[in-house]
Amino acid sequence: MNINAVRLNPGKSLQRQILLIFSATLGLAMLGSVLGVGRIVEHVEKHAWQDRQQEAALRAAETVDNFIKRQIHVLRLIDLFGLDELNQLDAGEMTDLVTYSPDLLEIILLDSQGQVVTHGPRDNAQLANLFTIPQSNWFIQARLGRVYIGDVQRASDGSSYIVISIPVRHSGVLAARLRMEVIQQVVENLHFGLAGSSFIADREGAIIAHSDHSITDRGMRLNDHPELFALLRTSSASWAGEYVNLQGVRVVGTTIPVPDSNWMIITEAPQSEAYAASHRSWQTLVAGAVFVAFALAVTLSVFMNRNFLSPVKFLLAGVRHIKEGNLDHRIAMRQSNEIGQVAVAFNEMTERLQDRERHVREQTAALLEAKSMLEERVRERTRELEEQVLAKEKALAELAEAQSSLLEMSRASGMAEVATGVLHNVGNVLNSVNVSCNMILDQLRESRVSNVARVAAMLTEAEGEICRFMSEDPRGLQIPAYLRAWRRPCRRNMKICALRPDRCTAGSTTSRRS
Amino acid sequence: MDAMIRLLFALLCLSLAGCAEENPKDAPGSAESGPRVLTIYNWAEYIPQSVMNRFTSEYGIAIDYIVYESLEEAVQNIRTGKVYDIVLLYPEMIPQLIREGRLAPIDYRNVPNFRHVSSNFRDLSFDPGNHYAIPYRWGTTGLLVRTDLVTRPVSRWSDLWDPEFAGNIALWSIPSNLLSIALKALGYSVNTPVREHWEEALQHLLALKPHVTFIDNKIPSVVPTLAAGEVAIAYGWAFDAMTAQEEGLTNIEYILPEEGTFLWMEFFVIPANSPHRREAELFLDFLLRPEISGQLVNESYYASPNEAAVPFIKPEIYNNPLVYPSTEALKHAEPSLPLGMDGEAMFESMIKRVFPVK
Repeated sequence: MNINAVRLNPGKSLQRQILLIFSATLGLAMLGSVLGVGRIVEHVEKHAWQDRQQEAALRAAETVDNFIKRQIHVLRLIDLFGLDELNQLDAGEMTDLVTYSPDLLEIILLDSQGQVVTHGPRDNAQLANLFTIPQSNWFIQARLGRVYIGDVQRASDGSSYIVISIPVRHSGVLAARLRMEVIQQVVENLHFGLAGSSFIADREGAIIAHSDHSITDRGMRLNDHPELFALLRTSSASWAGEYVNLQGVRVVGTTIPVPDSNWMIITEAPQSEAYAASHRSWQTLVAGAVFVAFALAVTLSVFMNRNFLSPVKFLLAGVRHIKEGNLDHRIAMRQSNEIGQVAVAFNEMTERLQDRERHVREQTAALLEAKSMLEERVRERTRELEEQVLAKEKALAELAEAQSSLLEMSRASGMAEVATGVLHNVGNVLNSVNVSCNMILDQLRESRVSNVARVAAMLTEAEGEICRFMSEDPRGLQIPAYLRAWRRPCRRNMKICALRPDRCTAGSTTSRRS
Repeated sequence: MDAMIRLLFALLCLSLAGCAEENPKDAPGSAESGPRVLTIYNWAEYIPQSVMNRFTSEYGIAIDYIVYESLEEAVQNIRTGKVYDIVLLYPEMIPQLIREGRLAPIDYRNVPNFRHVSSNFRDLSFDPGNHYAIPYRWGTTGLLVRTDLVTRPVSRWSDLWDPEFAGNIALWSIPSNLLSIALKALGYSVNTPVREHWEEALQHLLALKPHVTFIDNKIPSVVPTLAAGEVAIAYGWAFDAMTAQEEGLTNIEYILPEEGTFLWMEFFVIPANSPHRREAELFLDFLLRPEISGQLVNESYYASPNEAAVPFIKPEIYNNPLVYPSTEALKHAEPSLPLGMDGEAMFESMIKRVFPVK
């Protein structure tokens, strides 16, 4: 194939293919590295956030727990006074007790029937004025011996409170109404990140306190957020993960139960903030990877061009010279690599081609001379053969003429011989016929067959009286003897015919034999 | 990558939202297309028509008000699956219906006015956390006496058994009230856990039965009966006393007996099979508006659990101890507690003995 017939396809050029393969490999390697590093950064950051949030939530849970426990301890301390002692306290002294603890709104001591023994309100008595105390859950639960922590109750004026109660001696109940501001402050004081928020919810989905007041003001619940609600209902220990929060923002969150209650502390931070460093890392990594890839591609291109593609092009130019017949051309490359070896091999090949061309020229001249000599000898031999052919054709013509004459003579001689044979055979036949006829006549003469005709005539005459003729007539009486006399010659003739059929039929055979 | 995941998630959410919009009826409590009708099942004339008309004009939701003749009938109809959106019940009936899954939990996002409800009606034992019931009104139970027809003052429940008043007494045929009266007359708590007390109260009541006239529950008030002089004593409520006062019947007196009154409370519940839960919650929130609660008190003379309604209640009503008794007067008051499973069965059998089925 002519080297010019192979047109260089830019898309399939060696340079491009090498660059493409290298770029793809490099790109994949860079992508893998970027993804790996990015994931590691994201993982580390995510866990760092979760740890930070869990620590904050744990602190908040401890604070809330301590708050509740502190109030219960206050109630237990009051119980230590004993019913009699407390009975002697007037409302003012009880109120002093309440004001001692800023988180208490009201304390009330009840007997087993739900009747108020004593009480101390901070400002206005609420529990003490209830006429449904015996029906109230907080009274019944404490009456049954349980420490009771009620749901958050919101009042008309927007304030909120919870009721806690404990069983006390003499089957009584000590209850307190607590300000929820403390709980609210707990979640408000939880700070992490710029947009981190936290809230407390019970396992029924009610939000007890939220760092965003509008959430509690609107009475929002978690029941409409199945993902989060299910988490509250099922997780008994701390949990960390991602979800969409009440405001519809995807967040990284943690939950931690408040001990001895059905409350959960939830802390959450928007993913945009939680993963900000990861996002920056991603951007940096991607930008770095693109830059490095570009620089490597340029460097590789220059290197490839200088060390591989230029020598190949030089080699190609040398090959083109040789193709054009310039066998004196030599590729001047001194590179000590595979391309240099190819150039040396090309030069050696060119030298050999030169030698072979010289040898071919000499061989060709010798062959031309031998060819002319051979042609002369062929011409002479041809002439001799032509003369021999002409002589042979003449002899053959004479031979054919003699053969024709011999054939005519032979045909006439054959016909005469056939006619002689036929005549001889006809004579033999006629002779046999003659002999047979004589033999028949002799036979007939020897037999008394003529007497048979006479017997037949006599029988014809005696027709109608055959019996009489045969028994009485003398001629008739001789007939049986005649017929007995015929029996023997007839049997003999019959035997002759049976044993020698040739004698009955073979007048001709005999004649042929003769 | 995260952006891609978020985009896919958003698309998924949008598609789900699209699906949800295509099937609005699949959502629980969602409103059906066409005119919305809220079915309320209640005693006769328990909600003023003017209040219902205002709700309809504000929300565009019509109200179908169905009347029951007894609470037992109401409970039975809920159990048989008849469809109502709001039913008024007494606390004693609510726990069993909750256990049976007949009631729907209330979504308090639709009832923000619940914050006005007094602590007296919050977190009570029959419905901890008020998950299923919202209070409507409450009051005392006492004796209505025609002072001019009795020869001596009447001040105790036990006076009903005085032979002097035999044949001169009218009682509402509400079994739970009748047994509570008998228990109180015997000096027992209306929530006594002692079975013998109940049995004794039943016998006490059966002894009284031949000497009293039972009032048809369908009539709105016993005052006309008293005014006509058909009987001298009846048990009733503040509403009856206020009606008598309005009509100038000064000879009818309302007495809170010395043994202690027993409180009644009425709660609205939403049956679990209600097709209009949200509308029902809107209506209950509407009733808990301070001005609406005030209007209800002004028109019915029954106390409201809504503390914020006080400024909207006529002073003469709010200051009337018949409607809003003093704390002192309520000191020995007893609300009725649920009886529990065994108590319910016992109570049912006692009702049959007081009012045998013919």
